[in-house]
Amino acid sequence: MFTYALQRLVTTIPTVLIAAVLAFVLIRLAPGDPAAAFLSPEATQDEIIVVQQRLGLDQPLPVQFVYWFGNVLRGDLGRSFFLGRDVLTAIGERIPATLQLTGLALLFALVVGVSAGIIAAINHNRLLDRIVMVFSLFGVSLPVFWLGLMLMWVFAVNLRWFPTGGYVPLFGDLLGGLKATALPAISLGTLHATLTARITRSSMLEVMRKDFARTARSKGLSERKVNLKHVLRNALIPVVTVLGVTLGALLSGAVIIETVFTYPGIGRLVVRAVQQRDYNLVQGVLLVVTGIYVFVNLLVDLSYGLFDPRIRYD
Amino acid sequence: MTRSPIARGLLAVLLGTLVLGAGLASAQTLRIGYLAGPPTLDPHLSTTRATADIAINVFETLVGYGEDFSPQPQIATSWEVSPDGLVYTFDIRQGVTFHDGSTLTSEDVLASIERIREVGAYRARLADVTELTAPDEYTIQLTLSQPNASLFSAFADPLMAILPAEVVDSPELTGEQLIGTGPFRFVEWLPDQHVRLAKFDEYVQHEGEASGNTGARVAYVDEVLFIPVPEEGARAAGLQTGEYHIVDGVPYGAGRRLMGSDEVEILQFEQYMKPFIYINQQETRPTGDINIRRAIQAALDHDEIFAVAAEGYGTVDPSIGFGVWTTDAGSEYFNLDDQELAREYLAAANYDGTPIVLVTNTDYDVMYRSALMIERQLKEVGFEVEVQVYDWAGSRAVRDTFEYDLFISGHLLQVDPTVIEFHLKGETSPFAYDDPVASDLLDQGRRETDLAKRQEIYAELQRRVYEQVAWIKLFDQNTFQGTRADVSGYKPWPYIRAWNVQIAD
Repeated sequence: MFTYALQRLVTTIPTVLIAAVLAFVLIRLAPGDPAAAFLSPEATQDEIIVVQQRLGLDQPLPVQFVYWFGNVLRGDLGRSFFLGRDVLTAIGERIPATLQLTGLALLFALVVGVSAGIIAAINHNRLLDRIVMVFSLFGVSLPVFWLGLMLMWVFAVNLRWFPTGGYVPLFGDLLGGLKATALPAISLGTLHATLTARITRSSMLEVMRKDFARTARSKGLSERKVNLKHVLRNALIPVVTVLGVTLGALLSGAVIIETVFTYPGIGRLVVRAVQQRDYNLVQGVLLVVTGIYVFVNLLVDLSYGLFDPRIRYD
Repeated sequence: MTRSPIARGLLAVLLGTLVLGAGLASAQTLRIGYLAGPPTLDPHLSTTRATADIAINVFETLVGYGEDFSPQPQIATSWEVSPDGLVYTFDIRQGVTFHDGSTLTSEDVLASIERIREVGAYRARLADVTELTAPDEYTIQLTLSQPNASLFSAFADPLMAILPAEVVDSPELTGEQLIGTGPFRFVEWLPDQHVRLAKFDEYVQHEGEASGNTGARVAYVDEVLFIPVPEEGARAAGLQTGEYHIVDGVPYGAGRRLMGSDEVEILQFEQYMKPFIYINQQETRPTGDINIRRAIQAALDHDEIFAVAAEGYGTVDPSIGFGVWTTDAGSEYFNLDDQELAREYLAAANYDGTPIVLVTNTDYDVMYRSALMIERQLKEVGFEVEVQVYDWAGSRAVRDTFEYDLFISGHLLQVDPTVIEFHLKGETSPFAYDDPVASDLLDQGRRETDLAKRQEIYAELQRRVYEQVAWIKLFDQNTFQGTRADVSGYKPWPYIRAWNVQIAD
C-alpha cells in the first residue's frame, strides 16, 4: 500500500508541471497585461513600461516561467499585483469559504443523489423510478447560474428564508453558516446530485443481479437488508471513483455560484484576477486547485481498499 | 434576592448581557452594496471610483467640492491667489484631528501634497507646481510655473487626500496607516467581502450647510459596510430583501419593477457615463480619411442607439462637459441620421469595402449594446464592419496597438475640463488625434481663469473636434441607485456619501 501511494505521488509530478505551464501560458494569451489594467486609462506608454519592468514582464517568457516556477518549488507563489498580498495568503484567506461551499455541495450531492439512486433502483421501472429519472434530467439540463438565480428569487427574495448572499463561517455560527451557504450549495450540488443518482441507480441494479445478492436473498434475508447491507457497499464503488472528478467539477462550478451569491471564495478571486490580468494570482490559483484535485483523486484511489477487500496494492 | 453567590453571579451576567444587548441593538450599520471592490485603499495610488467612494468618507482634501463642484472650504478655510495667478496661499483649518488622535498642521498637508507629486496617480495634475512651502503651522503656499485654472479641481478630487506626515513614506497605505480626518474612520478591509468604516467620534463639523463633500457632515450611523456585489441581479435582490440599505447600480429592469414598491426608493443618478467612439486618425487606417469619418458621423442615429443601449434613461446631446461646461457647440455635426449624406461622403472617399474594425467590450453593457447598433447603422449606408468583442482589459490592450478604426469607450462624470487633454493632445491621444488648433485651445483652456472666457474656449474646442470628427459622443447615460424606505438623507452624486444618512429605527 505504501509503495503504491508513493508511486502515485510520483506520477502527480508531471501533472502538476503541465498544469503550471498551462496556467502560465493561458493567461498570457489574453490581450492586455497587468500594467495596462493596473494603471489608469490615461497612463502614458512610459508609465506602462516602468510598471512592466517592475513586474518583470519585460523579460522573455521562458525566463519569467523559470523565475516563477523556481519560487513555487520553494513554496513562494509570488505576489498578487492587485491585492498587494502574497498569492498564498490571498488564497489561504479564501480557502475556508470555498471548502465550506464545496463541502456542503458535495454533501448535498451525495446524500440526495445516493438516496434518490437507491429509491430508483429498488423501485425499478415503477413510478418512483420514473419520477427520480425525470428530476435528474432537469438537474442535468439547468444551467447552474440560472438555477442559482431562481433559488435566490424564490427562497431569498420572496420567502425570505435565506439571505441573498454573503459568507458566514460554519465554525463560528452553525445555523447562520448553514443558512447563508444553503442556496449556493444546493445550486452547485444539484447537477452532481443527479449524476450521482444515476450512477448509484445503475450500479445498484447491476449489483442486485449478482450471484452473492441472490445467495443472500435465498438465505432468507429481507430485501431491505440485502440492498442496504450487501448491495449498496459494492454499488458505491463507482460513486467513489467519480467523487474525485465531482470535486474538481464542483470547484470550477463554484466560480459561477460565488459570483451570483456574492460569496468570497477562490472562484470570485480568480475571476477578478483574470479580469485584471493578475498573472501571479491566476497561476497560483490554478496550481493550487490542480493540487487539490490531484490529492483528492489520490485519496480516492487509496480508499478502494476499504470498500473492496479484493483490491490489493502490491 | 437569593443568598447564593452563584445565583447572584448569574443574575449579574444576565443583566449585563441585557444591557450590552440593548447597547448593541441600537448600534446602526449602514450596508451599501456596490459594483466592485477597490484594488487598493491608498487614495494617492488609485484612479478608480471604488477607492474614491471609500476615500471621500474617510479622508479630506485641501479644498472640497460643493454640490455644483465649485471649490469650497475643507482642510483649507480660505485662500488667496496672486494677481498673476502664480502664487496660491491657503489658510489651514485649526482644531482638525486625525483618526489617530494627532492634530493636523500644515506639515501634514505639505507631506501629503509632496507624496502625490512624487508617486501619486494624479501627479500630472500638479505638474505646474514649482514650489511648495509652509510659512507657518496653519498656512500653505504654492507657486506655479504658469497659471492653472484646474488647480482647485485637482485638489478637490477625493483621491487627493491629506494624510498625517508620519505615513507618507509608506509605498502603499494599508490597514492602520489609513488615517484621515473625515467623519468616518477605517476599521478593516476584507477583500471581496467588505470595507468596514466606523463613526469618528471626535469629528468636528465644518461650518455651512452640507454641499457636495463639504459643509456640515454628520455621521449618524455607527458603522458603514461597503460590500462589493458584482452580480447585478444579486444587488437588486439584496435591495429588495433589505440586506443592503443603499445599492449603487440597480439594473434597469429591476429598477423599473422596484419603482412601484413601498419598501424601496429608486433614484436616478444623471449623466453617470458618457459613451464615446474614439476614431483612429492614423493615415494608414480607412478612418484616416476625413470623408470616411464624416460618413460615419452622418450615418449614426444617436436616438436609436440611446434607446437600445441606455433604455431611454439619460439624454441625447452633444456636450462633452457637464454642469458649467455644458455647451451645444458643434451640434450641427451631431446626431445627423442622414443616410444619403453618409453615402455621398462614402462616394467622395472612394470607399473600397475595407472592413471598419469596431472594438467593444462586454464588461460595460452600454458599450456592447451601442456597438451592435452602430454596426447595423454603418452597414446600412454601405460600410463593411468587423466587430471585435473583448473584456475591458483586452479591449484596452487592443486600443494601445492602434489596430482598430472605431473604439467604444466611456467617460464617467469628470468635473474638470482639462481631463480631455489626454485624449485630444497628439502626445497622448489614444486614437492618434493631433491637431494644432485643438492643442492650442486646450493650452488656453488650462490657463484661462476667467470662467466666461474659459467656457468659450472649450465650446470652440468642441466645435473643432466634431468638425474634424476626432471622436463622437453618443449620449448621456443615467444609472439607478436604490435605497430602502427607512433610509433618509442619501442623495446620488458621483461618489457614495455615507454622512448625513439616517436609518429609521
